[in-house]
Amino acid sequence: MKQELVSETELQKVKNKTESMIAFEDMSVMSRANSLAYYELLGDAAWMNFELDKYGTVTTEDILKESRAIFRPENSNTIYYLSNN
Amino acid sequence: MIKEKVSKLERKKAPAIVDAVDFHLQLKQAEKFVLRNGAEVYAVNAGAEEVLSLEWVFFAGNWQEDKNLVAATTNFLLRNGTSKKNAFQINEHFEYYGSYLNRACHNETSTITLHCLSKHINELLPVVRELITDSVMPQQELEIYQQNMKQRLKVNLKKSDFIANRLIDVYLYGDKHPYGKFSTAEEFDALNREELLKFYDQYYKNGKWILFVAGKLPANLEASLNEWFGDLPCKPVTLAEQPVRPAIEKKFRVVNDPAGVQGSIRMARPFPNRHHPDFLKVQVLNALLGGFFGSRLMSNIREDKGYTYGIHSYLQNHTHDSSWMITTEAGNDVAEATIREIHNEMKDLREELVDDEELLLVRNYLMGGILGDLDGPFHIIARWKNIILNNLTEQHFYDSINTIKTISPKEIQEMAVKYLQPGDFYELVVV
Repeated sequence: MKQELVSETELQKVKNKTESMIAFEDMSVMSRANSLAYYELLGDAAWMNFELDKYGTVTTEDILKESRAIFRPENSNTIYYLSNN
Repeated sequence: MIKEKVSKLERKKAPAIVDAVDFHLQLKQAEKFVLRNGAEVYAVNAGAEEVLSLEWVFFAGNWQEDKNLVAATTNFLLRNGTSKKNAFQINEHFEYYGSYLNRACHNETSTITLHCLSKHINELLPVVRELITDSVMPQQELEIYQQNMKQRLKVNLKKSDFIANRLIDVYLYGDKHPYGKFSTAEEFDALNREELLKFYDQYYKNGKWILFVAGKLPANLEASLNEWFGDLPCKPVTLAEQPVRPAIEKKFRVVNDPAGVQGSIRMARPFPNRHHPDFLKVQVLNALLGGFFGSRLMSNIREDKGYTYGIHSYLQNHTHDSSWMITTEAGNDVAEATIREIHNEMKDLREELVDDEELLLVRNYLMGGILGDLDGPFHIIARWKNIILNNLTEQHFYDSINTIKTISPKEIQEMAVKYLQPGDFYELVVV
């Protein structure tokens, strides 16, 4: 992911899935209330309305750039969970 | 948008507290239309999000199969390959659009369910059509399924609750009845592709289906459905009589695992379906007995005696013959004591009137449950589906609420005397 751009199709699929997830999350008044509380705690309940648009603006270049920034060995902690024998 | 609505709320004053029993619940209307081929569509236009749920209900359940497991396997393999797409490609298509395609097989019916964003409907409906008209049930997919199901069965057969669930249904209905029959490794091995294709041809390609749609309905929904499904065959399917053959013996003690420490207890009696005049009244009595966390069984056997983590009772969700079931898992050494306490609770309900405070709690619990069950279009269409598939009318919904609100302690006692008789119950412990 640090070397090559992901394909437009792959990115679009993730955006579609995200859009769908956000829409289905808001189907019941119960989960809407939860979402409102969540965004209010982040700063403003109204952000609930703009969350999706932010995903929409992500480009394949952004993914490459962020991959290069995040996926560095020095950013990672690795735990080895070994059995006694 | 949400913000504008929020700003108009009165924020200084707490909302008034209303008992759930005082709610005036309404069931939002479902619109009904008929496609060119005569297929019925029920649609609930509700919700603020641009999403849809479409559920095709086929009369292709266990009831229709001549050989055990054919219906469930056919239903499972519907989306595992068509003449144009393999299982992976079908999956990828629905996933690309962020949609969810599920299928399930029940007793009288089986379903294909699609949840999607409304704007993708024209990309998704053609592929659903493909599944209904052109599934090929690849041999390799069948073999993977057989392998997985046998492995799962092998694991399940070690569990006392799994065994108990199978046996109690056999006692109630007989092991040949759709509600009583169960799967074996030999029957998974005996499945063959030709039988599945024949079942598919008869009950999907040329069967009968009803479609339930809910969400924010696109204006051209009816036209889209006619375009993709209006030319498919939709022929009446008759459900053959399936005689119930209940066990004569009532008490069963089964050892499945000699080293087992937990006993799975099932007690059940035959009970009529939703059309019986006592059904709604018994729903209230059932709640009192073991239908919620504050029930008599839970208070006594979990909270007071500590024999179990949970004990429940319910009316089985069957369209034809049905039953009233009590289930729990309890320590092996207290299984018999648990059964004694269940009998004690039944006796109390037969002999003493419920007091007003407890009855109000139950009324509020049941009304709150209905309220929660009407939250959003998907829940509302589920209510309608229940009404339509059980041959009920909208009035059933209001009768149910009316019974919850008005049933008297005397009527509850009458139901207990009529139905909570120890001799009528099968009694099973599986260790």
